[in-house]
Amino acid sequence: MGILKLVSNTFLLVILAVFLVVPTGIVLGLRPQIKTSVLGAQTVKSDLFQRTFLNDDQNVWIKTFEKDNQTLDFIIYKGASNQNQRYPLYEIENTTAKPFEIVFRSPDKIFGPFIKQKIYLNRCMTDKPCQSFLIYNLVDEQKAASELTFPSEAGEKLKFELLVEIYGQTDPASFNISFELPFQIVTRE
Amino acid sequence: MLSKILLKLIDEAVLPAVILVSTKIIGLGLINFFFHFTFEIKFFPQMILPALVYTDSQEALLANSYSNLLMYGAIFVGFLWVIVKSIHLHETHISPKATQKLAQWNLLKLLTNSYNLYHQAVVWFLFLWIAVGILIFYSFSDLTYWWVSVASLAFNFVLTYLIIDDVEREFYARRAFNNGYS
Repeated sequence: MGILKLVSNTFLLVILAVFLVVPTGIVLGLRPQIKTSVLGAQTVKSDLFQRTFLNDDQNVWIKTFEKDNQTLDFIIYKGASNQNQRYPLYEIENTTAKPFEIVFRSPDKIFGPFIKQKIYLNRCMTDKPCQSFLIYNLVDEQKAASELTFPSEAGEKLKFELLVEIYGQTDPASFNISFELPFQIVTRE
Repeated sequence: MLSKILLKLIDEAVLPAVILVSTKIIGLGLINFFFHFTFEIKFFPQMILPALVYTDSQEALLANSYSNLLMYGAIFVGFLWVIVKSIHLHETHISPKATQKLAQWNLLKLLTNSYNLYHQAVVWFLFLWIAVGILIFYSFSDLTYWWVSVASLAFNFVLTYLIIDDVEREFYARRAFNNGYS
C-alpha cells in the first residue's frame, strides 16, 4: 500500500512538473532568431583573390545571397539612418603576383518601392579617401554606367562599399530595395 | 493527503499554463501583424517548434519584448485576482460588513476558502516567477528590453509581499480561532 502511494504521488509530482516545465519550454522555444546578414563563409578564397565580407552582422544592413562565386544579390533592408547611407560590402585582396582587374556590372533593375535615390559603388584604399562611382540613378530611372573597372596590383587590398543617397520625401527608415551586383576578375597577360 | 494536494495543484495549473503559452503566441502574432514586421516561420531539424526568423534584430527585439510583456501581464492579472480574493473575499478574514454587502448583492459565491485559494496561489505564484525568469533569460540574450524584466521583477516583489502578508493574516486568524475554542 505504502509503495503504491509513493508511486502514485511520484507520478502526480511528475505531471505537475510537466505542467510547469512544458509551457516554459514552449515560451523559450519561441525565441525569435535573427538571420545573419551574410550567408555562407565570411571569407572566400580562390586562386586569384581572397574576398572578405564586411557586412555588419549586428545591424543587418544588407543581406547578401551568393548566387555563384562572382555574383551577389543584395537586399538592403530598412535601416538607413540618414540621407547618405554607407553599406560596407567586401574587401578583395589580390593574392597573385600579377595585377588584375575587378569588373563590376551595374544592376539592370532595382526592385522595391520607387524611391528617388542614387547608388554609388565606393572604392576605398588605405590612407586615401574613398572614390565614388555612380552605378544606378533612380532619380532619372536609368543605369548610370554599365561597367566599372578597378585595377588591382599584386597583393593589393581594395575595399568596396555601397553609398546610397536618398532624395526627396523618402523616409530613410523605411528604405528597402534589392538588386543584383555581379562582378568578375579579369586577368591580363 | 499529499496526493489530494498534488491533484488539486495539477488542476489549478492547467489555466495559467495555457495562459502563459497562448498569450505569448497571441502577442507575437499581434505585434507582427500590427507593425508589419518581416519574418519567416522556419522548421529546423534540431528544433521541435518552428522558429520565427527575423531579418532585423530591432524588430525581433521589439516583437519578443512586447509579447513577453503581454505574457507577463496576463499571469500578473491572474495572480492579482488570487490576491484580491485572498484579501477581500477570503472567508477566514472577511469583515462582517463585506459579507453583508456580498449577501445583499447575491455574490456570496465569490467567497473563497483557504484550501482553494492557497492551491491557486501556489500555482500562480510559481508561474509568476517562471514568467519573470523567462524575461530575465531573454534580457540576458538581448532579446528583451531590460526595462521589461526589471519592471516585472519589481511587480513580482510587490505581489509576493502581498501574498506573504495574507498568509500571515491567515496564520494569526487561525491561531486566534484555535485559542478561542481550546
